[in-house]
Amino acid sequence: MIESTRDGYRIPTFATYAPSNEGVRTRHPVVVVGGGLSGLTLACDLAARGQRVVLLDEDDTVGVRGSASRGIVYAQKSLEIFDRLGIFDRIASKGVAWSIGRSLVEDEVVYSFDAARGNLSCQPPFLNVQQFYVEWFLAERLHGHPLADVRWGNRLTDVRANEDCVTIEVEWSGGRYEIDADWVVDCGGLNSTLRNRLALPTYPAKGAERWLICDVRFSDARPDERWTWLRTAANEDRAVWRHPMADGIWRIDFQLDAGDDTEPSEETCCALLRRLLGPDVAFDLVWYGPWASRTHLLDDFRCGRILFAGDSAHVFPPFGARGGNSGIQDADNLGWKLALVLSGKAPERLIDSYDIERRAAAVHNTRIASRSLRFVSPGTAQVRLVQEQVIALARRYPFAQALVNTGRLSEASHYEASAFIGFGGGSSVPNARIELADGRIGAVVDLFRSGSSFILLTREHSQLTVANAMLKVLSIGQGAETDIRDPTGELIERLGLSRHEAVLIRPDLHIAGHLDDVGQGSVRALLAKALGAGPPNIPWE
Amino acid sequence: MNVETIAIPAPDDFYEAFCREHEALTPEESAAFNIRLIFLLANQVADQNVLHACLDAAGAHGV
Repeated sequence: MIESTRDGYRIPTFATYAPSNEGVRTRHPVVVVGGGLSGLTLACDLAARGQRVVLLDEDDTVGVRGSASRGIVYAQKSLEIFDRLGIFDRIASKGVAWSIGRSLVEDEVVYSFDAARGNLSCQPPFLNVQQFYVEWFLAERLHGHPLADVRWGNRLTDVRANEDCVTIEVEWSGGRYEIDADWVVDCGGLNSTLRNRLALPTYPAKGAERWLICDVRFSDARPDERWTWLRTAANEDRAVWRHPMADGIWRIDFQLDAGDDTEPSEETCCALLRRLLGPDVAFDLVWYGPWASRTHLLDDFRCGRILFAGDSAHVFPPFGARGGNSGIQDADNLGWKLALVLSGKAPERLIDSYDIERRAAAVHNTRIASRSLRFVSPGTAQVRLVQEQVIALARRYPFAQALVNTGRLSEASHYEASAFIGFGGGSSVPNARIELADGRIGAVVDLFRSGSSFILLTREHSQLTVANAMLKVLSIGQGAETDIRDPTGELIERLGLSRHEAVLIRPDLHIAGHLDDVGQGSVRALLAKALGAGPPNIPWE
Repeated sequence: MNVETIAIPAPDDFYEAFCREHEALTPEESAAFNIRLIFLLANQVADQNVLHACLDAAGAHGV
């Protein structure tokens, strides 16, 4: 690995993979196409679960064309996934943890939140870091894994869906080759070649408003908080977003005049920054680029043996940091399902739950992010008047502050009851601190670091022996007699164990369902349902 | 949602007070005033079903 200097950053360059036996078509259980956040997370997840995986990526580095500014806010569920995958500590030492957000009009705060309230997780509510660092740490994790076959500089050029496998045509600097896969996961982003080759409709739309990102290095004594100005004279009464990132760099995002379509130059950026920061602050423009909101959504995240994750499947307006974070959750949702189906421990039907759960999450994210877009960029003069008057109320009366919407930040998805999830299940288990059986202090993800077992947490110590390699039964309580101790009782409450006898937790740390009567039969039935092997008891059909 | 009986106390007083507020306003100021008033009232109503029924009832197809 060579590190080169681009835009003042040090970015790795990876050697192009050269196929050793060109001409011999090999078959692989899973091929992940695209090494962005979703693809790298999925490949790491599969390898951690003991599943062989091939990852194709078209270029030789992380990020998009190196250090181009992309996602910066990583939300708690993503950070918990990274903890499980073993890269959280690296991300935490590089990035900036934060929990407080403020929305301002000029210098007056009209809305504040502190996401640390009620936080049970070992991870902070949010952590800001440049996307390429996260990808870099994931890539290095993969490079060290014997089950991961990472192919930098290998680009998908075509795809053929056969009855029992998928054939992929790959191009690299030395030629072309074909590989077969039982399953292919497309993580190829907004303009995915694979998705385009299949000509699947995505219903794309582009917003009329325009923004300009400037990544700027300067020193500032302000606290590590997310500040969003709805209006400031420094940007001609338009909005400005300001986020801290790693390496002393700030992302400053200027809302531009929607009617002005001149291409912003470095001079434009420097003039805007000079006005915002004042005459005395020395700054260094690291990267800049204009953007507009886009949306698209696939009808089905599964197409036979091809699955779609991340931006290839869904794109939302960026407000609330729901893009990258939902792609990471896509990977988290899919990894254990593929691993179990490929090892014959779950029926293929389990894969259907990926589309059910993650497409619903994408619809939800689209709705929430589009509401923020409407607030920040009112589409008509009448709607602008509504926004202005709500802001006026918020400046005077506390109740109206809750209406100020500069982005409702990404949270862990909640999956509705389905053929796979019991009534009342579906929520994500926070990565709370626990005391393990041997007295060590740990966290919930420590129970889930390898393999793809479910865990049944029971309130009472249970003699239950379920002869199933995929299930661990552990008791949780506040006393010394249980397998896991939750000293404060807050996790027990959050798990619903003050009302139920037991809770079944999936390998992605989402709740599969609760049990009031713990016995061989009830446990087997709930596990079968969660695996897609249960009777088709489908309340929503 | 109650559209059958009047529940506003002293309704003529409220009508008068509401109109007096508007008499001194330009059309733009009047629209802004109404938005502020509606959000203040919505916070008092505090009932999602009633609020959505009122939005429907006030729309062009409602009257």
